[in-house]
Amino acid sequence: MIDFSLEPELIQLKDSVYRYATDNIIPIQEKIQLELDEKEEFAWPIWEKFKEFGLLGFPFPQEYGGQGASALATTIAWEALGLAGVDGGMVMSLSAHTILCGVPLMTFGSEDQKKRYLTKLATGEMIGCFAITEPHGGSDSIHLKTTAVKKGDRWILNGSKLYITNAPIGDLFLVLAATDKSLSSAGITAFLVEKGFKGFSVSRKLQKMGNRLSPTGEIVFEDCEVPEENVLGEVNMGFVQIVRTIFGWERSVMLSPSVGSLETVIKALMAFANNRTAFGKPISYFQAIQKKIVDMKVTLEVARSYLYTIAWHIDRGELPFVEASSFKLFWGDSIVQHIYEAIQILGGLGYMRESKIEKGYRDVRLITIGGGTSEVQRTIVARAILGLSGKEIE
Amino acid sequence: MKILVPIKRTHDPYSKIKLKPDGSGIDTSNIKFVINPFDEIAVEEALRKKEKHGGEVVILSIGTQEAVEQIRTALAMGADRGILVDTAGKTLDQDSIARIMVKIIGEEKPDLVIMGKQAIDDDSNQVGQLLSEYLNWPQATFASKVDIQDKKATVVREVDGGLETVEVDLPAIITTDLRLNQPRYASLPGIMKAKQKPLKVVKLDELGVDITPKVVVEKLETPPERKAGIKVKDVDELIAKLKEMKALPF
Ligand SMILES: Cc1cc2nc3c(=O)[nH]c(=O)nc-3n(C[C@H](O)[C@H](O)[C@H](O)COP(=O)(O)OP(=O)(O)OC[C@H]3O[C@@H](n4cnc5c(N)ncnc54)[C@H](O)[C@@H]3O)c2cc1C
Repeated sequence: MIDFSLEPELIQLKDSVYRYATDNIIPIQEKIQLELDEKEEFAWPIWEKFKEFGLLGFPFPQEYGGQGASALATTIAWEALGLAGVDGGMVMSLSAHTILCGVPLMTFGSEDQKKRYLTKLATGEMIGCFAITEPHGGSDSIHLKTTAVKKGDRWILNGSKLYITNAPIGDLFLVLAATDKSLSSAGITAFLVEKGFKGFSVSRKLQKMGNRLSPTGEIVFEDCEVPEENVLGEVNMGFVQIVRTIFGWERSVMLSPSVGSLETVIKALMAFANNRTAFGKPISYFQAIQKKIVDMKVTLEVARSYLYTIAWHIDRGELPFVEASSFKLFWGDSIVQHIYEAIQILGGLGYMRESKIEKGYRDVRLITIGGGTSEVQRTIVARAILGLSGKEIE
Repeated sequence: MKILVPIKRTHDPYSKIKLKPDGSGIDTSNIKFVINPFDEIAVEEALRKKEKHGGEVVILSIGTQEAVEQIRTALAMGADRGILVDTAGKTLDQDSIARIMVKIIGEEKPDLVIMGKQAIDDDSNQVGQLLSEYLNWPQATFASKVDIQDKKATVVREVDGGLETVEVDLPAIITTDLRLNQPRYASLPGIMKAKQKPLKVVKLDELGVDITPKVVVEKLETPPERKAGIKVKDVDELIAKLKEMKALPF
């Protein structure tokens, strides 16, 4: 049997998050978003509101201060944030914190690690980050140059990580480093690094095209000392276990806010196209305009079903790694195209900052790059469906 | 303290209402339903009083099975249990609603009833007052502040031109105004807990309440469409136009 209906509880959750965001986050955002976007600054008042609703630890178990949300419930809550129009960069920072740093910690962390860190992520006492990408390249995430060498009861890390979301404001970094280069992906270990650890530093904050409320930075390890109890999961299993789990969430659940925002964009475009006239009739009468909006609607429905299906797989304890890659590939290329067309429908207004879609365009442009490029996703899917090994593709 | 909160399932105040072609009611397809916003404020107030004084919050809704959705929302906010009087789609006037409530209150014996001052669908503003009459309980309507102490409620009421403070003995009926509080949003753990909370369904016929309508809604009409405004050049033209429309007292 197959049943596509959402439980009433999930519908209620979506409604509750949507209303919360609309009543409590949007009024604050309206006042500060444009200015913070210009200055590239984090919106602490919005972060406070995330915290107030328990979003900072949303998928964590309740015993660690979370809300106990499944992957599907997280997807739906995140979608509601997008639907309400919560800033893309702020939601990205929220995701880096809860999903990229929090979910692996909750899944693979020891009791002691969860008590020390997960509870603090949930309260916002600590801000979480995930760091795998390096200056020499992010797509090739198995040949890491950052190394970790065991010395007594600690690991010594050397190297650097680039484009790290939340780094300039981060307290806890989930860091991947090579512990046995001869084993490539089977020789990578995950470490929990606190910003105060000796030899750790944030070397710079980066300036970006979009998602400018979300701070991005570079971090450096110079003989950085990490106690052995801060290894997450098993030594050498950092990629195979942990990164694959992260990618599964990052390439599905984490994209849900942009699915919600596409729905809101479509609504706004419908109203606009029915009101704006040219040559004596509403522009919605022109087939060229209809096509753009209809295509968006079709993508929206397909994406949502696909996304919910992947979340459902995660909740069944499966690792829908290839499915998540194919979703990200489909979604990234589509959303960039659709928001491009949304600007087109709005005409000159779409190009103006006041329309906000200009910002949306800069924000969604990231989706074909961050969390793994479209090219890399296509490679992963190709490898899976053609039955090729990694070597043959590379 | 036991508090009973009657809630009504109404259309979302933000959704656009269309009437059925024959004017017999509103077209409910494609619209979202919520707890009547004034009732939601009542739920919040009851929860705050429970948090302060202890006790139980019981939700009552009179309507179709669909109203279970709204009861569950109130339970997700933190209420303890729910009662649905299933009307099986029968049309009831305000007086019948009040009489049904009297029956349930007789069984539940709450110390306090907090409810919305009116429902946003028909804006009748009658049930709280009728209930007070039938139960012979004091009423404090349009509350913007409620304090409870020693079996008494001190209620600040919003009246024309200011505020009035009244004191009523419990049990009493309090109806809420908009500024009483800001209702909370159901959290995920709250929503999940609500699944396990008791919800009793009572069939309307089994209550033996006389529901012969005293008021019958004959027809609904939408307000006439507003004509587009015009732009005036300056104050002189504005005054001239207003005079032309006889909208000025001079
Ligand atoms: C705003 C932002 C936030 C980010 N946040 C984080 C974060 O929090 N943590 C983190 O670890 N990383 C983060 N990243 C990094 C991100 O994951 C990488 O940018 C991404 O994986 C691509 O890596 P790269 O930029 O080094 O590009 P490269 O890997 O150098 O790729 C350059 C080009 O080559 C293509 N290419 C590479 N390999 C292949 C191949 N095999 N076949 C075909 N084409 C190929 C790529 O698709 C791309 O077009 C973030 C990036 C941005 C922009």
